[in-house]
Amino acid sequence: MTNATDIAGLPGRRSSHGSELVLAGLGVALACVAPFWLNGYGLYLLTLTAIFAIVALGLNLLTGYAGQISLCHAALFGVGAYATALLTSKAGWPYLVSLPVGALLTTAIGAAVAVPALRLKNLYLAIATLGFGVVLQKTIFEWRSLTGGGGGLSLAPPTIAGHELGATGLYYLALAFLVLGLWGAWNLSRGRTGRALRLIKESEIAAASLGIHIARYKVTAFAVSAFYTAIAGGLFAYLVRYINPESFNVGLSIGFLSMIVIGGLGTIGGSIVGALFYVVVPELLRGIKDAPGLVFGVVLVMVMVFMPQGLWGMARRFLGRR
Amino acid sequence: MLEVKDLSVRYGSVEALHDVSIKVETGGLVAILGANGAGKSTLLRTISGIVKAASGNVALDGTAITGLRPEEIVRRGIAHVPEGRGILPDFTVRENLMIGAYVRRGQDVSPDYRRVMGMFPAIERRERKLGYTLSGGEQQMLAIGRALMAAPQVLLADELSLGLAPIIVRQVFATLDQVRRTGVTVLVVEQNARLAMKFADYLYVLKYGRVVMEGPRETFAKSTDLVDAYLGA
Repeated sequence: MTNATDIAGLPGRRSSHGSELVLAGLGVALACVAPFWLNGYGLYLLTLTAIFAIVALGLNLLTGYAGQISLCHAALFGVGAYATALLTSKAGWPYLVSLPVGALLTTAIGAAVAVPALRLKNLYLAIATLGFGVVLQKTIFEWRSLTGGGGGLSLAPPTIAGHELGATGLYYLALAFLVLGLWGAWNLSRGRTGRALRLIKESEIAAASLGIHIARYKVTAFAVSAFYTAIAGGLFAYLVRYINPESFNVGLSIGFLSMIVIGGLGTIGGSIVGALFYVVVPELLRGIKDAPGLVFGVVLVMVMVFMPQGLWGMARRFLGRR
Repeated sequence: MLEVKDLSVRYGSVEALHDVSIKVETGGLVAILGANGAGKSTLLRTISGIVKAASGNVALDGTAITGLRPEEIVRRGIAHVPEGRGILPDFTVRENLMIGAYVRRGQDVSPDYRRVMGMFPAIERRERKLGYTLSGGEQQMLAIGRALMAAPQVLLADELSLGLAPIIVRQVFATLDQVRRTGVTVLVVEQNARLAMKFADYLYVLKYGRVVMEGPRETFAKSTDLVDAYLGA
């Protein structure tokens, strides 16, 4: 991403990379030993968090960095889930092959979404992507011969090299993809691409006036974001082992958006924290009789009022970083 | 030399520019005056390829650049300081400057970086500060510096005085004068006529997308009433 003349690597960055690397290393180490402490349900939640965090990383590149809102990410998540599931269960491909191939198929669809995005902004883009998501979801629903329609798809546990992948194995696979995704987002956001995306969000006129090819970056951002989301979808399908078109509705798209807003728009750490919050907080509130949804809603409002830059932004300020 | 000939631009059925012709001699500082909506920003955006011309052409040193993509026009040596500046608030001054060299991938831009920093001591002192900590005037200087990172022959500047205190505007214009003295041709768009007359050596007045008046600074200084009448409308 960077090159010899780019001085992004020199001092001058807003925070030292060292401490962030240490933090990331600690997080990964903790995530690696976590299965030893958790019961089955806890492990399920942690796997779900990792999967959602992958989506949030991809969506944050698109929305947090490039400023392009999307309400079709649940549908892309669903396409990734179905593509991986069908390639594995019907075509008989190895899981580790169908996962990236399914994601690449979804990436092509994500790039197609970008075509209207080139002309639309803000709420107009939101509504257009909303429509696109509905089309994708209904296509899955109606294409019964392939997808099983509204009846959904039940999936056998995935195998890797002849070995059945259990809950712990799937967790580590999701974690591995999350770490890869982190590495990719980190590189993409820091260099030339990240700055170009941020300037497109800040001012398209300013970006164009500096010679930044806006159309190319928007398509790239949608495509990369779709790839992340589809990988997560392919993992999700085998976490729940039963997928249904209804699961990939706009409510989930809004859930993805709320993850990155709660965590912190345009931050990598915020994607992880936002996914964790979205999965864990409702669980913590389950004890509250009758009203977990209500309390979760109030918590959301409070986070936004008191931490407009999200949990990660708040933490950074708290730790004395600018 | 930057030459615009019979340029017309339409936004749908609205004609934003009508047969506009202007000339900017190499090393000159030319100002385009005009009220809101006169077509000033459209003119700059058309020169830099962001807006497509309906007819007419733009030439840099005799070579037509009409219809080229913005990135190609920046590469040919025309940089644009956009209206509203577009500084990244959560990136450092250094990073903001580096975006200006976006089209110069693979080139050594560190001499330009040092040169720009040398031109703007106020910015240099804040090299590691984030964009949002800068004052309006400093952000405007940063936007000019960023455009200079493209190593342009021609600098287009859109409404530099917007939202700045008069004394700061004067400093910003003094900077432009300094930029011109380094051999960069400057074309500014401005609502503040008095200020523009102080620095520019040739001026145009745009009204409803047409050039209604043009001449060297001396002529303009003698007909301030006429200029005011055009701008006041």
